[in-house]
Amino acid sequence: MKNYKILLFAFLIIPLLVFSQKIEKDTIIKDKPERPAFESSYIIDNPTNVLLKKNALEVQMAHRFGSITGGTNDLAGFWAPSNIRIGLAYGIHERLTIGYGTTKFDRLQDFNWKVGILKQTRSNKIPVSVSYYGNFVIDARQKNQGLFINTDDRYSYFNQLIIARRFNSKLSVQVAPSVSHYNIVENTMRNDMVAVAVGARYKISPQTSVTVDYSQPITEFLKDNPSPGLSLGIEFSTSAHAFQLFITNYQGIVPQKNYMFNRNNFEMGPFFDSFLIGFNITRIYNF
Amino acid sequence: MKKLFKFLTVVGLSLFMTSCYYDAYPEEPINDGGGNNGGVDISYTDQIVPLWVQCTGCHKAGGDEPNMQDNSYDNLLNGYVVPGDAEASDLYKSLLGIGGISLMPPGSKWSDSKINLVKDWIDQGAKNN
Repeated sequence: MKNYKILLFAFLIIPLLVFSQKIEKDTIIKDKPERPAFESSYIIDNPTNVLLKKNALEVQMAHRFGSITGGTNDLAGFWAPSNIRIGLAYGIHERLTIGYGTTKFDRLQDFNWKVGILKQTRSNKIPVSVSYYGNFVIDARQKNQGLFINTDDRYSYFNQLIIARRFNSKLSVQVAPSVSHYNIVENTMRNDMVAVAVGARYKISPQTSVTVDYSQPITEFLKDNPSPGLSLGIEFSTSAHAFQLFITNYQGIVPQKNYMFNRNNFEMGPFFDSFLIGFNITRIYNF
Repeated sequence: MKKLFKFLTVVGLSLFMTSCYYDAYPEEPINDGGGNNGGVDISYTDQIVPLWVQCTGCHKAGGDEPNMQDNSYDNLLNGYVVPGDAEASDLYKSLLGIGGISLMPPGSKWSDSKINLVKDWIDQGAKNN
Protein backbone atom coordinates (compact mmCIF):
# COMPACT_ATOMS: atom_id res chain seq x y z
CA MET A 1 0.00 0.00 0.00
CA LYS A 2 2.80 2.31 0.94
CA ASN A 3 4.50 1.64 -2.38
CA TYR A 4 1.29 2.48 -4.24
CA LYS A 5 1.11 5.76 -2.41
CA ILE A 6 4.63 6.60 -3.49
CA LEU A 7 3.86 5.55 -7.05
CA LEU A 8 0.70 7.66 -7.11
CA PHE A 9 2.60 10.61 -5.80
CA ALA A 10 5.25 10.07 -8.44
CA PHE A 11 2.67 9.81 -11.24
CA LEU A 12 0.91 12.89 -10.00
CA ILE A 13 4.05 14.90 -9.83
CA ILE A 14 5.48 13.83 -13.19
CA PRO A 15 3.17 16.03 -15.28
CA LEU A 16 4.19 18.99 -13.14
CA LEU A 17 7.84 18.19 -13.61
CA VAL A 18 7.35 17.80 -17.32
CA PHE A 19 5.40 21.01 -17.38
CA SER A 20 8.07 22.89 -15.53
CA GLN A 21 10.69 21.50 -17.83
CA LYS A 22 8.70 22.64 -20.78
CA ILE A 23 8.48 26.16 -19.43
CA GLU A 24 12.18 26.22 -18.82
CA LYS A 25 12.85 25.09 -22.35
CA ASP A 26 10.55 27.74 -23.77
CA THR A 27 12.27 30.38 -21.71
CA ILE A 28 15.60 29.34 -23.06
CA ILE A 29 14.39 29.61 -26.60
CA LYS A 30 12.61 32.90 -26.04
CA ASP A 31 15.22 34.54 -23.86
CA LYS A 32 17.28 36.17 -26.55
CA PRO A 33 18.46 39.75 -26.17
CA GLU A 34 15.97 42.33 -27.37
CA ARG A 35 16.80 44.29 -30.51
CA PRO A 36 18.67 47.55 -29.89
CA ALA A 37 16.42 50.27 -28.47
CA PHE A 38 17.83 52.96 -30.77
CA GLU A 39 19.32 53.17 -34.22
CA SER A 40 22.62 54.88 -33.57
CA SER A 41 25.05 56.07 -30.92
CA TYR A 42 23.23 59.34 -30.22
CA ILE A 43 19.59 60.01 -29.50
CA ILE A 44 20.14 63.71 -30.26
CA ASP A 45 22.38 65.38 -27.70
CA ASN A 46 22.86 62.44 -25.36
CA PRO A 47 24.45 59.11 -26.21
CA THR A 48 22.14 56.08 -26.41
CA ASN A 49 22.72 52.69 -24.84
CA VAL A 50 23.50 51.20 -28.26
CA LEU A 51 26.82 49.36 -28.51
CA LEU A 52 28.60 48.51 -31.71
CA LYS A 53 29.11 44.92 -32.78
CA LYS A 54 32.60 43.52 -32.45
CA ASN A 55 34.88 44.97 -35.13
CA ALA A 56 32.28 47.47 -36.32
CA LEU A 57 33.44 50.99 -37.06
CA GLU A 58 31.07 53.93 -36.80
CA VAL A 59 31.75 57.31 -38.39
CA GLN A 60 29.92 60.13 -36.63
CA MET A 61 29.27 63.60 -37.97
CA ALA A 62 27.39 66.18 -35.94
CA HIS A 63 26.56 69.74 -36.86
CA ARG A 64 24.85 72.58 -34.96
CA PHE A 65 24.02 75.79 -36.82
CA GLY A 66 23.52 79.21 -35.21
CA SER A 67 20.24 80.09 -33.50
CA ILE A 68 17.30 80.34 -35.87
CA THR A 69 16.35 83.97 -35.27
CA GLY A 70 19.34 85.01 -33.17
CA GLY A 71 21.29 86.69 -35.93
CA THR A 72 20.42 89.18 -38.62
CA ASN A 73 20.81 88.16 -42.26
CA ASP A 74 22.15 84.67 -41.54
CA LEU A 75 19.51 82.40 -43.15
CA ALA A 76 18.00 80.92 -39.98
CA GLY A 77 21.44 80.39 -38.51
CA PHE A 78 22.97 78.57 -41.48
CA TRP A 79 25.50 81.33 -42.05
CA ALA A 80 26.17 81.96 -38.37
CA PRO A 81 29.11 80.37 -36.55
CA SER A 82 28.33 76.66 -36.32
CA ASN A 83 29.68 73.84 -34.25
CA ILE A 84 30.95 70.62 -35.82
CA ARG A 85 32.11 67.27 -34.46
CA ILE A 86 33.69 64.46 -36.44
CA GLY A 87 34.18 61.22 -34.58
CA LEU A 88 34.96 57.54 -34.88
CA ALA A 89 33.83 54.69 -32.66
CA TYR A 90 34.95 51.08 -32.75
CA GLY A 91 33.52 47.96 -31.14
CA ILE A 92 36.42 46.04 -29.61
CA HIS A 93 34.03 43.64 -27.83
CA GLU A 94 30.29 43.03 -27.95
CA ARG A 95 30.04 44.93 -24.70
CA LEU A 96 32.73 47.58 -25.14
CA THR A 97 32.86 50.41 -27.66
CA ILE A 98 35.58 53.04 -27.67
CA GLY A 99 35.71 56.25 -29.64
CA TYR A 100 37.42 59.52 -30.39
CA GLY A 101 36.06 62.77 -31.72
CA THR A 102 37.07 66.34 -32.29
CA THR A 103 34.79 69.36 -31.94
CA LYS A 104 35.16 72.84 -33.40
CA PHE A 105 34.02 75.06 -30.50
CA ASP A 106 36.74 75.18 -27.82
CA ARG A 107 38.70 72.60 -29.85
CA LEU A 108 37.47 69.76 -27.65
CA GLN A 109 39.18 66.41 -28.16
CA ASP A 110 37.08 63.65 -26.66
CA PHE A 111 38.03 60.07 -25.90
CA ASN A 112 34.98 58.03 -25.01
CA TRP A 113 33.98 54.53 -24.01
CA LYS A 114 30.69 52.74 -23.60
CA VAL A 115 30.19 49.53 -21.66
CA GLY A 116 27.13 47.27 -21.86
CA ILE A 117 26.15 46.21 -18.35
CA LEU A 118 22.70 44.70 -18.88
CA LYS A 119 20.89 43.72 -22.04
CA GLN A 120 17.12 43.71 -22.20
CA THR A 121 15.77 40.27 -23.07
CA ARG A 122 12.73 39.33 -25.11
CA SER A 123 11.19 37.40 -22.23
CA ASN A 124 11.37 40.53 -20.07
CA LYS A 125 13.42 38.65 -17.50
CA ILE A 126 15.74 41.65 -17.76
CA PRO A 127 13.32 44.50 -18.48
CA VAL A 128 15.88 47.21 -19.32
CA SER A 129 19.24 47.66 -20.96
CA VAL A 130 21.89 49.46 -18.97
CA SER A 131 25.02 50.95 -20.48
CA TYR A 132 27.70 53.11 -18.98
CA TYR A 133 29.10 55.94 -21.08
CA GLY A 134 32.19 57.87 -20.08
CA ASN A 135 34.51 60.33 -21.71
CA PHE A 136 37.68 62.28 -21.12
CA VAL A 137 37.97 65.59 -22.91
CA ILE A 138 40.95 67.84 -23.57
CA ASP A 139 40.35 71.48 -24.38
CA ALA A 140 42.99 72.11 -27.04
CA ARG A 141 42.74 75.87 -27.36
CA GLN A 142 45.99 77.75 -27.80
CA LYS A 143 48.20 78.35 -24.82
CA ASN A 144 48.62 82.09 -25.32
CA GLN A 145 44.98 82.89 -24.62
CA GLY A 146 45.53 82.73 -20.88
CA LEU A 147 42.62 80.34 -20.34
CA PHE A 148 44.44 77.69 -18.37
CA ILE A 149 46.82 77.93 -15.45
CA ASN A 150 47.97 74.30 -15.54
CA THR A 151 47.81 71.77 -18.35
CA ASP A 152 45.40 69.65 -16.32
CA ASP A 153 42.94 72.55 -16.30
CA ARG A 154 42.10 71.54 -19.85
CA TYR A 155 40.57 68.24 -18.77
CA SER A 156 36.95 67.46 -18.22
CA TYR A 157 35.08 64.23 -17.62
CA PHE A 158 31.62 62.86 -18.16
CA ASN A 159 30.06 59.74 -16.69
CA GLN A 160 26.57 58.61 -17.55
CA LEU A 161 24.44 55.57 -16.81
CA ILE A 162 21.99 54.96 -19.62
CA ILE A 163 18.92 52.93 -18.73
CA ALA A 164 16.90 52.14 -21.83
CA ARG A 165 13.83 50.09 -22.59
CA ARG A 166 12.42 49.04 -25.92
CA PHE A 167 8.70 48.82 -25.18
CA ASN A 168 7.74 47.52 -28.62
CA SER A 169 8.90 47.82 -32.20
CA LYS A 170 7.93 51.49 -32.22
CA LEU A 171 8.56 53.00 -28.82
CA SER A 172 11.87 53.14 -26.95
CA VAL A 173 12.63 55.29 -23.92
CA GLN A 174 15.83 55.99 -22.02
CA VAL A 175 16.66 57.69 -18.73
CA ALA A 176 20.25 58.77 -18.20
CA PRO A 177 21.61 60.21 -14.95
CA SER A 178 25.06 61.72 -15.32
CA VAL A 179 27.93 63.50 -13.59
CA SER A 180 30.05 66.04 -15.46
CA HIS A 181 33.35 67.19 -14.02
CA TYR A 182 35.57 70.10 -15.02
CA ASN A 183 38.96 70.47 -13.37
CA ILE A 184 38.67 74.26 -13.36
CA VAL A 185 35.58 76.45 -13.46
CA GLU A 186 34.59 80.04 -12.72
CA ASN A 187 34.44 80.59 -8.97
CA THR A 188 30.65 80.99 -9.03
CA MET A 189 30.27 77.51 -10.48
CA ARG A 190 30.85 74.04 -9.12
CA ASN A 191 33.27 71.51 -10.58
CA ASP A 192 30.70 68.71 -10.62
CA MET A 193 27.32 68.82 -12.27
CA VAL A 194 24.72 66.14 -11.61
CA ALA A 195 22.08 65.92 -14.29
CA VAL A 196 19.45 63.62 -15.69
CA ALA A 197 18.27 63.18 -19.25
CA VAL A 198 15.16 61.57 -20.69
CA GLY A 199 14.93 60.59 -24.32
CA ALA A 200 12.46 58.72 -26.47
CA ARG A 201 11.99 57.46 -29.99
CA TYR A 202 8.73 56.65 -31.71
CA LYS A 203 8.73 55.04 -35.15
CA ILE A 204 6.21 56.47 -37.58
CA SER A 205 7.32 54.25 -40.46
CA PRO A 206 9.86 51.41 -40.71
CA GLN A 207 12.67 53.86 -41.45
CA THR A 208 11.45 57.11 -39.98
CA SER A 209 11.01 57.99 -36.35
CA VAL A 210 10.36 61.00 -34.17
CA THR A 211 12.85 61.58 -31.36
CA VAL A 212 12.85 63.80 -28.30
CA ASP A 213 15.67 64.43 -25.83
CA TYR A 214 15.41 66.47 -22.64
CA SER A 215 18.36 67.17 -20.32
CA GLN A 216 17.90 68.65 -16.86
CA PRO A 217 20.90 69.92 -14.84
CA ILE A 218 20.34 69.40 -11.11
CA THR A 219 23.36 70.93 -9.35
CA GLU A 220 22.83 74.61 -8.53
CA PHE A 221 25.56 77.19 -9.13
CA LEU A 222 25.89 80.44 -7.18
CA LYS A 223 24.80 82.26 -10.32
CA ASP A 224 24.28 81.71 -14.04
CA ASN A 225 22.77 78.25 -13.79
CA PRO A 226 22.92 76.42 -17.10
CA SER A 227 19.59 76.04 -18.87
CA PRO A 228 17.99 72.66 -19.49
CA GLY A 229 18.16 71.31 -23.02
CA LEU A 230 15.24 70.29 -25.18
CA SER A 231 15.59 68.71 -28.60
CA LEU A 232 12.98 67.51 -31.09
CA GLY A 233 13.98 65.61 -34.16
CA ILE A 234 13.26 63.26 -37.00
CA GLU A 235 15.46 60.25 -37.65
CA PHE A 236 15.82 58.43 -40.95
CA SER A 237 17.66 55.17 -40.69
CA THR A 238 18.75 52.09 -42.58
CA SER A 239 20.63 49.11 -41.19
CA ALA A 240 24.00 50.84 -41.18
CA HIS A 241 23.13 54.50 -41.44
CA ALA A 242 21.17 57.04 -39.42
CA PHE A 243 20.41 60.61 -40.28
CA GLN A 244 18.89 62.88 -37.65
CA LEU A 245 17.53 66.35 -38.31
CA PHE A 246 16.38 68.35 -35.29
CA ILE A 247 15.95 71.60 -33.46
CA THR A 248 17.66 72.02 -30.10
CA ASN A 249 18.79 74.73 -27.71
CA TYR A 250 22.13 72.99 -27.14
CA GLN A 251 24.93 74.23 -29.36
CA GLY A 252 27.63 72.13 -27.75
CA ILE A 253 28.07 68.56 -28.94
CA VAL A 254 30.25 67.08 -26.19
CA PRO A 255 27.72 66.41 -23.38
CA GLN A 256 29.46 68.07 -20.42
CA LYS A 257 29.84 71.32 -22.34
CA ASN A 258 26.05 71.51 -22.59
CA TYR A 259 25.31 70.42 -19.05
CA MET A 260 27.72 72.94 -17.51
CA PHE A 261 27.61 75.94 -19.80
CA ASN A 262 24.44 76.10 -21.86
CA ARG A 263 23.20 79.70 -22.06
CA ASN A 264 20.43 79.21 -24.63
CA ASN A 265 17.42 79.37 -22.37
CA PHE A 266 13.71 79.53 -22.92
CA GLU A 267 13.46 83.10 -21.63
CA MET A 268 15.68 84.63 -24.30
CA GLY A 269 12.70 86.09 -26.09
CA PRO A 270 10.99 84.63 -29.12
CA PHE A 271 11.01 80.85 -29.04
CA PHE A 272 13.41 80.43 -31.94
CA ASP A 273 15.97 82.84 -30.47
CA SER A 274 17.35 80.11 -28.29
CA PHE A 275 16.78 77.18 -30.65
CA LEU A 276 18.92 76.12 -33.55
CA ILE A 277 18.89 73.56 -36.33
CA GLY A 278 21.30 70.65 -36.27
CA PHE A 279 21.92 67.25 -37.72
CA ASN A 280 23.74 64.03 -36.81
CA ILE A 281 24.87 61.47 -39.33
CA THR A 282 26.24 58.05 -38.40
CA ARG A 283 27.44 55.31 -40.70
CA ILE A 284 28.47 51.88 -39.46
CA TYR A 285 30.97 49.71 -41.33
CA ASN A 286 31.09 46.06 -40.31
CA PHE A 287 34.37 44.23 -40.69
CA MET B 1 49.93 42.11 -27.56
CA LYS B 2 48.89 41.12 -24.05
CA LYS B 3 52.00 42.74 -22.61
CA LEU B 4 51.37 45.91 -24.55
CA PHE B 5 47.78 45.99 -23.33
CA LYS B 6 48.93 45.58 -19.72
CA PHE B 7 51.48 48.32 -20.16
CA LEU B 8 48.95 50.69 -21.67
CA THR B 9 46.45 49.91 -18.91
CA VAL B 10 48.95 50.70 -16.19
CA VAL B 11 50.18 53.89 -17.83
CA GLY B 12 46.69 54.97 -18.83
CA LEU B 13 45.13 54.34 -15.44
CA SER B 14 47.94 55.94 -13.49
CA LEU B 15 47.74 59.08 -15.62
CA PHE B 16 44.00 59.03 -15.54
CA MET B 17 43.40 58.46 -11.83
CA THR B 18 45.54 61.41 -10.82
CA SER B 19 44.30 63.93 -13.34
CA CYS B 20 40.93 64.74 -11.81
CA TYR B 21 40.78 67.57 -9.28
CA TYR B 22 38.70 70.51 -8.10
CA ASP B 23 39.86 74.03 -8.86
CA ALA B 24 38.36 77.40 -9.65
CA TYR B 25 39.65 80.43 -11.49
CA PRO B 26 40.98 83.05 -9.07
CA GLU B 27 38.46 85.70 -8.17
CA GLU B 28 38.67 88.59 -10.58
CA PRO B 29 38.42 92.25 -9.55
CA ILE B 30 34.76 93.10 -9.29
CA ASN B 31 33.64 95.29 -12.10
CA ASP B 32 29.97 96.10 -12.23
CA GLY B 33 30.03 97.54 -15.71
CA GLY B 34 28.70 100.75 -14.23
CA GLY B 35 30.38 102.77 -16.92
CA ASN B 36 33.44 104.42 -15.45
CA ASN B 37 35.57 101.62 -13.97
CA GLY B 38 35.74 103.49 -10.67
CA GLY B 39 36.89 106.66 -12.40
CA VAL B 40 40.07 105.05 -13.71
CA ASP B 41 40.74 105.26 -17.43
CA ILE B 42 40.98 101.90 -19.15
CA SER B 43 43.95 101.55 -21.46
CA TYR B 44 43.11 100.08 -24.84
CA THR B 45 46.63 98.83 -25.48
CA ASP B 46 47.31 97.39 -22.03
CA GLN B 47 43.91 96.10 -20.93
CA ILE B 48 41.70 95.57 -23.96
CA VAL B 49 44.05 94.34 -26.70
CA PRO B 50 45.25 91.35 -24.60
CA LEU B 51 41.64 90.13 -24.56
CA TRP B 52 41.60 89.86 -28.32
CA VAL B 53 44.01 86.90 -28.45
CA GLN B 54 40.96 84.69 -28.23
CA CYS B 55 39.45 86.35 -31.31
CA THR B 56 42.34 86.54 -33.72
CA GLY B 57 42.11 82.87 -34.69
CA CYS B 58 39.23 83.87 -36.97
CA HIS B 59 39.26 87.68 -36.95
CA LYS B 60 42.49 88.12 -38.87
CA ALA B 61 43.56 89.48 -42.22
CA GLY B 62 41.61 87.57 -44.85
CA GLY B 63 39.35 86.03 -42.20
CA ASP B 64 36.11 87.16 -40.60
CA GLU B 65 35.32 90.85 -40.24
CA PRO B 66 36.46 92.84 -38.33
CA ASN B 67 40.19 92.16 -38.46
CA MET B 68 41.28 92.27 -34.83
CA GLN B 69 44.86 91.23 -35.38
CA ASP B 70 46.30 94.25 -37.16
CA ASN B 71 45.13 97.75 -36.50
CA SER B 72 42.27 96.46 -34.37
CA TYR B 73 41.31 99.88 -33.02
CA ASP B 74 40.53 101.41 -36.41
CA ASN B 75 38.76 98.27 -37.61
CA LEU B 76 36.55 98.11 -34.51
CA LEU B 77 35.68 101.79 -34.63
CA ASN B 78 34.61 101.27 -38.23
CA GLY B 79 31.05 100.29 -37.33
CA TYR B 80 31.47 97.85 -34.46
CA VAL B 81 31.93 100.27 -31.59
CA VAL B 82 29.85 103.38 -30.83
CA PRO B 83 32.13 105.43 -28.53
CA GLY B 84 30.36 106.20 -25.27
CA ASP B 85 27.46 103.84 -25.89
CA ALA B 86 28.21 100.18 -25.23
CA GLU B 87 24.56 99.15 -25.45
CA ALA B 88 24.47 100.31 -29.07
CA SER B 89 27.81 98.72 -30.01
CA ASP B 90 27.80 95.46 -31.94
CA LEU B 91 31.02 94.50 -30.16
CA TYR B 92 29.34 94.56 -26.74
CA LYS B 93 26.20 92.87 -28.06
CA SER B 94 28.24 90.04 -29.53
CA LEU B 95 29.93 89.37 -26.18
CA LEU B 96 26.46 88.84 -24.70
CA GLY B 97 24.92 87.27 -27.79
CA ILE B 98 21.99 89.70 -27.76
CA GLY B 99 20.27 92.03 -30.21
CA GLY B 100 20.56 89.82 -33.26
CA ILE B 101 24.32 89.30 -32.94
CA SER B 102 25.74 85.79 -32.45
CA LEU B 103 27.56 85.14 -29.19
CA MET B 104 31.33 85.62 -29.40
CA PRO B 105 33.50 83.69 -28.81
CA PRO B 106 31.09 81.07 -30.18
CA GLY B 107 29.85 78.64 -27.57
CA SER B 108 31.67 80.03 -24.55
CA LYS B 109 30.67 83.34 -23.03
CA TRP B 110 33.36 85.39 -21.33
CA SER B 111 33.32 86.05 -17.59
CA ASP B 112 31.36 89.13 -16.50
CA SER B 113 34.49 91.01 -15.47
CA LYS B 114 36.01 90.72 -18.94
CA ILE B 115 32.78 91.76 -20.62
CA ASN B 116 32.32 94.67 -18.23
CA LEU B 117 35.86 95.85 -18.87
CA VAL B 118 35.06 96.12 -22.57
CA LYS B 119 31.75 97.80 -21.71
CA ASP B 120 33.45 100.39 -19.53
CA TRP B 121 36.09 101.05 -22.15
CA ILE B 122 33.39 101.79 -24.71
CA ASP B 123 31.39 103.87 -22.23
CA GLN B 124 34.49 105.91 -21.42
CA GLY B 125 34.54 106.92 -25.06
CA ALA B 126 36.51 104.02 -26.60
CA LYS B 127 39.79 105.87 -26.37
CA ASN B 128 42.85 104.69 -28.27
CA ASN B 129 45.24 105.00 -25.36
